[in-house]
Amino acid sequence: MATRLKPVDVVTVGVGMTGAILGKEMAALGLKVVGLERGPQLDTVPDFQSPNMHDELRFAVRKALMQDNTKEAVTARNNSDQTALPIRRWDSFLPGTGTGGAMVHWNGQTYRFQVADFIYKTHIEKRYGKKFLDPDLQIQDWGVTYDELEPHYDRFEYLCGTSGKAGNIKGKIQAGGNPFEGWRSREYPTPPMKEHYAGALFRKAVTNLGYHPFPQPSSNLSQPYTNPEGLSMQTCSFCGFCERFGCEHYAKSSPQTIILPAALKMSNYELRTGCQVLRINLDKDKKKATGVTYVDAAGREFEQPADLVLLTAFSLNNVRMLLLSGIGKPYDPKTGEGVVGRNYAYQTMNSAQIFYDESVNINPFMASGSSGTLIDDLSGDNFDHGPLKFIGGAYVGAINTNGRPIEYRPTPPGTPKWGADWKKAVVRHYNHTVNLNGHGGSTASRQNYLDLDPTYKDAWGLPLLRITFDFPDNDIRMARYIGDQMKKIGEEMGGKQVAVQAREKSWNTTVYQTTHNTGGAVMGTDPKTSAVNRYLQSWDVSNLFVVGASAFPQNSCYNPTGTVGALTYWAAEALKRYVKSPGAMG
Amino acid sequence: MERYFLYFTTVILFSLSARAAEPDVKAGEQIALKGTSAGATACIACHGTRTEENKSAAFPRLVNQSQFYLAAQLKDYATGARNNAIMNPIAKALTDQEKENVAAYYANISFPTPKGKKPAAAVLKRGETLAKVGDEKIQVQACNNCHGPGGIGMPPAIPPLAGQHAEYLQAQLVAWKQGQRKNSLDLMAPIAQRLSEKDMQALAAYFSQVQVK
Repeated sequence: MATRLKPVDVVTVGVGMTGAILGKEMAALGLKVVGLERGPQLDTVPDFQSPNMHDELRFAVRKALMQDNTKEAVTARNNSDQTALPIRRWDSFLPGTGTGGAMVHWNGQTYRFQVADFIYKTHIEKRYGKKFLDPDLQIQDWGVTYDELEPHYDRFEYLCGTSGKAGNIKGKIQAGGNPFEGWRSREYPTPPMKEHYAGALFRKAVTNLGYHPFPQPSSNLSQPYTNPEGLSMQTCSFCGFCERFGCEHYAKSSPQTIILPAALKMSNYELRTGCQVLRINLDKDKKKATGVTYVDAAGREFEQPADLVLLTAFSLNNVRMLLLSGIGKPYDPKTGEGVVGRNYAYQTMNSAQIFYDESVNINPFMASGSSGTLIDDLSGDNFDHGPLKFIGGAYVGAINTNGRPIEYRPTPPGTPKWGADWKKAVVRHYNHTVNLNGHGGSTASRQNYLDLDPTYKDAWGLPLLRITFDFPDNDIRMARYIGDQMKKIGEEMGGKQVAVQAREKSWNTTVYQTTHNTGGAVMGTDPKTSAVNRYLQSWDVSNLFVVGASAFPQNSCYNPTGTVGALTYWAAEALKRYVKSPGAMG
Repeated sequence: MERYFLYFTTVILFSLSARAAEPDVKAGEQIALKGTSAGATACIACHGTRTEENKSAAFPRLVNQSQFYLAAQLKDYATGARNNAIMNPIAKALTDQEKENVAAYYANISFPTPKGKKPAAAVLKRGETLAKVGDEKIQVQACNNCHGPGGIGMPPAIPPLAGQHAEYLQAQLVAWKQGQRKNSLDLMAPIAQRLSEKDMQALAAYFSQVQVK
């Protein structure tokens, strides 16, 4: 029997980036806020300190900072005819756990989406006609525009202290930045990161080819920075342990370095860790949330009543919590009806390696998670897709995030996978290889969706989330085109051999791609095709907001964190109005 | 025209110095023992030789230093990025090649950590905590993240702290805190600024007694 706790004003389900920002913003209004986090409290000191943190086996291979999938897995399949199986070892994507969530182990790559991304359906139909799209594609407008989000992108980047070079300030193109980007109101808070040698080789080659290179925006900082919350960051030392690791150095923007301490300073904000939320409770007619039920680390069940529930978990867990709580109509791929689970999308990742002779020393171990050199010429709708017969694109860049001893082992195609010849090849190529990344968008389609698994349950007896996903044909055509361009760039970079892996079917859960799982509780202006309105408020339960990449109607080609941050501040502004006069805002 | 000539000369000189010839350890030894005719005084008076250490705590120990780090410090003394009334003129008097030579001479020496007066247990404990774990309250990360386990250094760029004289270590932290030492300012100043005088003393005391095997 659940113990009923004293009611509070606001509860956040999850204390990652969205939960920490909204928790702080709501507490600043004087509301009593409780942040519920299933994982432990994690702090730079002592949790992220060396030498423990540089344990590649523990954190990168065994993924110690991730959601515990012995308790709570996700099942996966490629299409509705298959039986999904639980992912018992995270590989394709890595949901985090503990305070800070996935923004602890991210690489700090901090992008904005394109102006056209937010009006994707309107834009594509206008430019290419209504018959251009494959029939299975299900793209939508967001219900919010780039211009509306700009101040919130700005606020998030200044919270993070993001290091970069603007390419477009108020419509004026800036030398050295990305000329394709949407306008920004001012320069990045800190200057770009140092360019590594791989980036310099890439810059030279793409300049020769007529492309427009720019430094990757990075939330591992290039210099000390104090953000508007009064929290200070330090300089990245290029240790090469960003992705899958916490930053030992106060140099990576994570909730514990940029926002959470500001929330914890307020007496009306309370963090409770080790609390697994089981469901959002609803009133009799299912129009209002009454709070949440959770189990603490000792197995005791509690009911936490709250006037306002903010679903701020990882995108997949946001969708699962809606389904477990019976909020919103589940999506049915056969009829195309229903909204929860609809338009799940991912990322279409392409890669290439350029193998040099031994006179070219890359030193891949001098790395940071986001210090690459990129081009945006092939991103989104920055090029004419008319003759190409697909939509979407990819940013391409030399992004060298690490040269760690266990997993960084580039070898040319045809090298044996083990034994003496493999070892020889590893020694030969370790320091003489550049990796290219072709980070492609993911187009929402009718057949890709999320629902509850009919068979497998978590440690608390609740159904796991089931992913049904494969790359739509459109995205495969896009990947092949991007792969061809990467090959040309690789050849221009002067290596002896270029190997390209354009993404092919089918989605494979045993190979890391990205942790950019999007959609499933998408935002929009029509309750028939979206689970939340343009303020991320549930259409069905007005005192519930669902915040995260779960709101993306489809995924752009950029890493999602910047846009999740912008949406979070956009929702925070809406919530300030909501608190004054509660009710549906649609 | 003259300006162009100067420019090209500078470029050529720069590329020459960037690719300085292999260091000459023998020549480095001569500088260490006798100084140079250009006015650099002999190093041994304060820093001892490769085989015999000057034990005065007034001068930093050169134990376990990489050639890269020593040469970089000499260059920074020459430009004023490091400020020291004794070292600035000496470094200015050395050519880049001489700096490399003398750095090669003093590189990778090994001497045991001298036995000094043992600091108070509480001071040592605080120093050890800061060195190994850091302190979330003042947002200071563990020194050993970058300076290596036990502060043995992360060559070539990051110097050892283990066994260094406490006076020297503390003076460097103070110099970063006050902005007088300008090399590695981005990395070290924010840390030094968060450390109280007591914390600096504790760290210096702790590292000065760590044994290097």
